[in-house]
Amino acid sequence: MTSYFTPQFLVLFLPGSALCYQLVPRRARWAVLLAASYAFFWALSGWLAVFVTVSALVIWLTGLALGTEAARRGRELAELGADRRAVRRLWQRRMRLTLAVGVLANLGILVALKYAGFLAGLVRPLGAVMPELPRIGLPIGISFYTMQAVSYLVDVYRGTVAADANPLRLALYLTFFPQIMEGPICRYAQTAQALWSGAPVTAKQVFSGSARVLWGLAKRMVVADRLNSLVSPVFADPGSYDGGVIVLAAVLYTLQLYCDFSGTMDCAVGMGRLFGIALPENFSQPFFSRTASEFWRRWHVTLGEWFKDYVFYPVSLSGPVKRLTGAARRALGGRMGPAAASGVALFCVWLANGLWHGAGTQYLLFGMYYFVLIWAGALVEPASQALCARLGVSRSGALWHGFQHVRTLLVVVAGELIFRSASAEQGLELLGRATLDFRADSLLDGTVLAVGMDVADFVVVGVFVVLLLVAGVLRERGVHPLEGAWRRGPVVRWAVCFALLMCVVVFGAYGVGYTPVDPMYASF
Amino acid sequence: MRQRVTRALRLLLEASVAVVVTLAVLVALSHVFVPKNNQVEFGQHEARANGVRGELADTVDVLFLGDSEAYTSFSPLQLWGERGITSYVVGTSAQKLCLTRSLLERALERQSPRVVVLETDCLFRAFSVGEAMACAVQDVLPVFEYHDRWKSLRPEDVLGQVQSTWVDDAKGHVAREGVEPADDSAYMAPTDELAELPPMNHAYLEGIAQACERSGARLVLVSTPSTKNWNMARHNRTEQLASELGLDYVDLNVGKSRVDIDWSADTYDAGDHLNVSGARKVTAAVGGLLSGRYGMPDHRGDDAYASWDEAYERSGQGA
Repeated sequence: MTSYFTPQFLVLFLPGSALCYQLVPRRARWAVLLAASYAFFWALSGWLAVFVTVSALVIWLTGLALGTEAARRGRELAELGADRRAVRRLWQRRMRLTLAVGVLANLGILVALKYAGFLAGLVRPLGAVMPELPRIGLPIGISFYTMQAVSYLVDVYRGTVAADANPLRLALYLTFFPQIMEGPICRYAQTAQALWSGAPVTAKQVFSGSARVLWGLAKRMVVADRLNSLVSPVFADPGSYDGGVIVLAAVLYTLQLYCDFSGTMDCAVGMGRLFGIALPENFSQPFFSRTASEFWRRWHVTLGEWFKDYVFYPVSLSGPVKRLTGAARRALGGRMGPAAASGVALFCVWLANGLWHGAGTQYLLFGMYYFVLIWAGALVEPASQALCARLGVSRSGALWHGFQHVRTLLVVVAGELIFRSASAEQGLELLGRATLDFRADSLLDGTVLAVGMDVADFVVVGVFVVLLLVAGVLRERGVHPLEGAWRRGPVVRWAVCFALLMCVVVFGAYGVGYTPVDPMYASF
Repeated sequence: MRQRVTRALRLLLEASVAVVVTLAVLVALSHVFVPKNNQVEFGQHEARANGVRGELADTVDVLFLGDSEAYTSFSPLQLWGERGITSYVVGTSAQKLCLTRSLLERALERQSPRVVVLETDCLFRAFSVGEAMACAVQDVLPVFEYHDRWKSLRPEDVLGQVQSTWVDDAKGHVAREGVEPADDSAYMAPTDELAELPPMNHAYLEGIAQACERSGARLVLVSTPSTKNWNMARHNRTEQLASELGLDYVDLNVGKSRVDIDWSADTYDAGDHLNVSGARKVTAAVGGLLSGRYGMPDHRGDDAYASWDEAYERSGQGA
C-alpha cells in the first residue's frame, strides 16, 4: 500500500476500516480511526511513525502547559488589586516562551528531516565544513501534520481552543488517514472533537462520500495519470523539445497538477464523509480566478488560510511592521503606504510557501515569483485604475474580466513551469525558451503526438476538461451535482456512481503502457 | 423502529441491485474488450507467452514458466529437433508468481502437459497484495487488463468470440546473440545461508503446484545458470522449499546437474542471461532430463505434429 490509489487501499483498507467503524460501539470508534490511521502511516513510512507520535506528545504537553499558564493568569487577574497590565505582560512573556518551545520542537523535526540537506548544500559553497548528514527519510505528510500541530498550539495560546488533555485525541487529529497524505490542513476546532465523537454515519453520507471518492479517482486516473505520458518525458529531457512543446507541457502539467491534487482532495473529503467527518474543502474553482491572489484563495485553500492566520497577520500586526506601516502611510499616502508595507508580511508568506513545497531552489523561485506578482499588483492597482478611467475602459465589463482571466491563466502556467522544473536555473531557462523559442510548428506537425499521448488520449482529456468546466460553473452557482443526486432517488444516485466507476475502469490510465503519476503533494 | 428497518432494507436492496448490475456490466464489457485473437494486432498483451493458446489442443507435453531467465535459456525447437519433445515457454519479463499462476491456468485450459518446469528466479521476486489482487481480478474480468482497447474497438469485438490461432514461431523462446563475458569469481560461493522468500510467494508456489496436480502435470523447479541472479543462498532456500512441497528440484548451476557454462562466451549480458550458445547447452541438459527422468515421448514422425517439423525447418536449426 503506497497511496490512496492502490487496489489494496481502495478495495481492502478503506472499506474494511469503514465497516469496522460502523460495527464497533460508538464509544470505541475513535480507536478504530486511530488504529487505521497508524496502520496507514506505518504502511507508508514504517518506523518514521515515531516522529508524528513525538509531535503529538509535544503538542499535548505544550498545550497543557499553555492551558495551565492561562488558568493561572486568569486567577491572578481576578485577584483584587492586581496590576492587570503587569500580570498580562508577565504571562504573555511566559506563554510566548512555552509556545515557542512547542512550535520550535515541531518545526525543528520538520527542518531536520526535510531541509537539513538543502540548507547544508546552500552553506557548503560558502566554505562551511558540514558533516555528512544521515539519511533518515521523510514521514508521510510531515509538512501537513506539522502545520496542524503548530496551528493547534497557536490556537491554544490565543485562547481560540481549550488545551486538550487527551493525547490520543491529538494523535488522531494529526494522523487521520484520509488527510495525512496531502491534507487538507485542518484546524483542531474543525475536526478533533468530531473524530473522537464517533458520530453515526448516514446512508446519505456513505453515498455522497463514495461518489466524491469516485469523482476524485476519475480526475486523478483519467486525466492526471494520462497526462503523465507527455508531461513526464518532456520535463525529464526538456532540451530535446522546442518552446512550443514546452508551453504545451506546462499547460498540461498545470492541468495534471490540478487533477492530481484536487482529485486527491475529493478522495480525502469523500473518505472523511464515510466516517461522518466533514473535512474542509481545499479547492474552489481556482481557474475561474481573475488575479493571482484570488487564485491562491481558491487553490489549496487551507494552506493559504494557514499562512494568512499564522504568518501574514502575526507579521503584519507585529510592532516593527506596524511602525513601518505608519511611516509608509505618512510618506506615501493612505493607500500606497499600507500596500508598500504589506510587502514585509507578503514576503514572509511567500518565502514560507515556496519552502513549504520543497527543499529546492525552484520552490524558492516559485514563492518569490508570486510574492513579486502579488505585491506589485497591489502597488500598481491605483495607477491601473486611474489609467483605465482615463482610457475609458470599464473594469466591470466582460472584456476586462476576460482579459483578467487570460492574464491569470498565463501567470499560473508560468508559475507551474517553474514549479515543475528541477531547479531555479532550469525554471528560468524553460521560461526563456517557452517565450523566445516558441514555435507553433511542433504543435501542428504531429511532433506532440510522438511524445507519449495519441489523438484519442487528447480527446479523452479534452472531454474531461469540458466536464470539469461544467462542474465548476455549476459549483460557482451553488449547485453541487453529486450531493443533488441523492435527492433524485435511487436510480439517479446509483447511475451517478455507476457512470463514474465505468469512466474510471474504461478510461483510467492504468495497467500496461501507463505509469501513474506519484501523488505530487504527498512529498511536500 | 419499523420505519427504520424498512428504510435499511430498502437501502440494502438498492445496494444489492447496484452491485449485481455493475458486475453484469463489467462481465459484458470484459467480453467486448478482451482481444478476439492472441496476437499483438488484436491488442493481446504478452503475446509471445500467450502464443501457447494457439497450439493444437493437448499437443504440448512440457510447459516452461518463468521470467527472462526462462525464455532465454529454454529452446523448445531445439528440444523438438533433438528429442521430439513438444514444449512451450510461457515466459515474460520480470514475471511475478501471481502472473505465473494466471498464465499457467490459461495455458491449462487448452493443454494437458506432463511436466511443468518453473524457472526459479521468479520465486524470489516480490509482489504486493495489490498486484496479486489485480492479477486475480483481471483473470475474472479482463476489462481491467484490456480497458485501453476502447481506442481500437471494432464492431466484431462486440459479438465476436475469442479465437486463439497464433503461435510464436520460436515457441516462446528468445534467442540472444552476442557475448559479454561475466565475472564468475563469486559465482555459487559456498554458504549455509537461506535466501529470504518474499511473503506471498510460498502460497503462490503451492497454488501453482496444486494447479499442476489437478491437471495431472508434474511440477519441476529448475534453476538456470546465471552469475547475477543465482547463488547458494537461493539454491539452499529453493531446495528446502522443494522438499517442503514434495517437488523435484534441479539446479543447473551446481552439483551433478551443473551445466558446463563458459562464462566468457555463453552469456550476452555479463552473466545475467545466457546467449544462444549457453541456451543450447541448457536445453540439451534439460532435454536429457525430460527424456530420461520423466520419459517424455518422441513425437517426431507423427503426422499430428507436422507443424512442429515445419516450425523447426523455418527456424533453420534443421539445416
